[in-house]
Amino acid sequence: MDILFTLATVVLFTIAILYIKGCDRLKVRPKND
Amino acid sequence: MTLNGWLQIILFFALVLFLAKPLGLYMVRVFERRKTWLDPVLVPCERLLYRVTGVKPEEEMRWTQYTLAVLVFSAVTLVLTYVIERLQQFLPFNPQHLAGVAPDLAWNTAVSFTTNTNWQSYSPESTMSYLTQMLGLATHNFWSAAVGLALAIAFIRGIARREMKTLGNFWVDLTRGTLWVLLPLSTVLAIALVSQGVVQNLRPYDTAHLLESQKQTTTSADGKPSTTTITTQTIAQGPVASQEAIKMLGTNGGGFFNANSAHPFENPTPLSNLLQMLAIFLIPAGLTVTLGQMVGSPRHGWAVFAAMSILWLAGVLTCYWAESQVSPLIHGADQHVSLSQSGGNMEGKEVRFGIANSALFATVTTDASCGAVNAAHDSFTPLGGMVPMVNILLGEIVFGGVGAGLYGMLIFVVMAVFIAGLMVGRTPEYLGKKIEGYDVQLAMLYLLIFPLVILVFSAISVLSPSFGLSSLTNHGPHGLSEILYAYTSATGNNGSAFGGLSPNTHWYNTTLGIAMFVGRFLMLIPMLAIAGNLASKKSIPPSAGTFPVTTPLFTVLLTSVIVIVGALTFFPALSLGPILEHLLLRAGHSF
Repeated sequence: MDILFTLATVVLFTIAILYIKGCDRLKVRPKND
Repeated sequence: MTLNGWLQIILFFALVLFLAKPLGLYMVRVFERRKTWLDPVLVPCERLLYRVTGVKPEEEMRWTQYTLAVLVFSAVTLVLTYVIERLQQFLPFNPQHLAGVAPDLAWNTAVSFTTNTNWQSYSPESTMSYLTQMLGLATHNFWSAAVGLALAIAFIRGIARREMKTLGNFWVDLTRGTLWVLLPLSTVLAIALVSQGVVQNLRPYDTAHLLESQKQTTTSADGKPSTTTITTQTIAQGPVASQEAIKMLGTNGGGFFNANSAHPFENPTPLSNLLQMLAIFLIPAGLTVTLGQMVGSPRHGWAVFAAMSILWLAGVLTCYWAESQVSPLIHGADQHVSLSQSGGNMEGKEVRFGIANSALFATVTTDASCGAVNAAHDSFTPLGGMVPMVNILLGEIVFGGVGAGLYGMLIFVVMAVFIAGLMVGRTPEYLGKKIEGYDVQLAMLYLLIFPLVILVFSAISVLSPSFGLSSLTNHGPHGLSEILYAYTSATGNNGSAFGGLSPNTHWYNTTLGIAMFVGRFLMLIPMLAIAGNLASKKSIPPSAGTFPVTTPLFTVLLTSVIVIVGALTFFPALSLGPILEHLLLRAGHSF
């Protein structure tokens, strides 16, 4: 169970870091959409 | 409702108004690194911390770096708390020899305190050792509040700065917020609370012998009833005052005892109750003044303060009115207020606080993201209990959590300015910055994540008799309210429990933990992205089409946007919960 929750923590923070990248890239998206 | 009750509510608000400006101006000095009277003591501590940790205070961070620093700090402290909880039986300051906390509960609690939620699926005095309470949990009360404070300051810098790529240094903001704001205030408040009788010790629990023994009948797992005679009562002790102070000032809300601020050792007198409510609103109210000063428009800060005040007044008025009503299901008893009784609904309320201070506390603790309680929200009337829920559903922007309330409100300001721009047919502007598509997209992302988490998890729980409904005490619309409140409280990082739901299960511990995580981290990311984008923009002079953000009209528009967004999103769920329960109660049904 400890390993499971450690993994869950890693996954959630990884999603958050990817989310930062996503928000940053949203800005440079082409404007023709 | 009584004159006495209203006078107490007015006194409370007058004190908030009186204290907001000096604290707000002080925080400007702290975060702009100007001189303060605490510098001789704190500057050496600050320098030492930077030297030990290798922080270069002059280095500025882009919004992505700032956010990453928040995440790294939160991840490390989350894991640290999890480890302390799991290993507490091997660690010191555990005079009751409490066992290690179960993995799912330890994770839920670690996430809960890291995210400033302080949701507690456990009874603290029988689960957490003194060391866990002090090192694992109380430290988070400081850190999570300081993180919120830093985030709000970063957002304000984003508005105030022109053509810059950076928002400040997270480590500096975190350190200065803790040392200059939270530590001094909590020290003063802790001493004031001790003067009122809040305990502060590291003793083992006391055992009191009952004057009359009590017989308790329980049913075992195999269905056989057994009777136990109880002759003693355990009276929990602990370092309560020091944790109580930061629990309120940091809008954390996690009680040292299960009964939270209804417990006589946590909140013994009406004066300690007033101090605790003031402590919740103190920093968030001060931050509106900080906003006005740092962006060079003090009147804008007061306009935001006014919008918050209107929503606060609406909440407390509704809650106080609802709780003062007589129950239609009780016949033949005088329920009206008189010199000998409070009248109205006193179920789940402390007699020393009465209806006015219970309704006010419930409103204040959910306007902010505190979550401390001095009454059982589950025992409120349907409409009275709906007020705390609605306060959280609006995003806790009525003064709100430390920092989180202000940046949440500023997201609504962006939306209000955008809508005002659409009304006059021009590009919206906010304090000289054009609000463009990117800002609005991110603001909508911020606003949509919140209901998505609440409604999806609530729906799954309601549909599942095995792991969702099985934790309920009440059925019907009241049961829906209990589940909806739990996910609302978790996602809003409030932490108060409606009650009636037993959440210490694998399903609720895990999903509430995810809700708390998303409600904190996935919402602060778009917020900081907006701040970073605003900081990089040019400043344009106001024109005839600029919507001023310092006028009563702006306050009304901002308040309307908040209410409409909240109403459109959550009205269907509320109508199936507390509103339906209210109507059925009038028809003679209770749940």
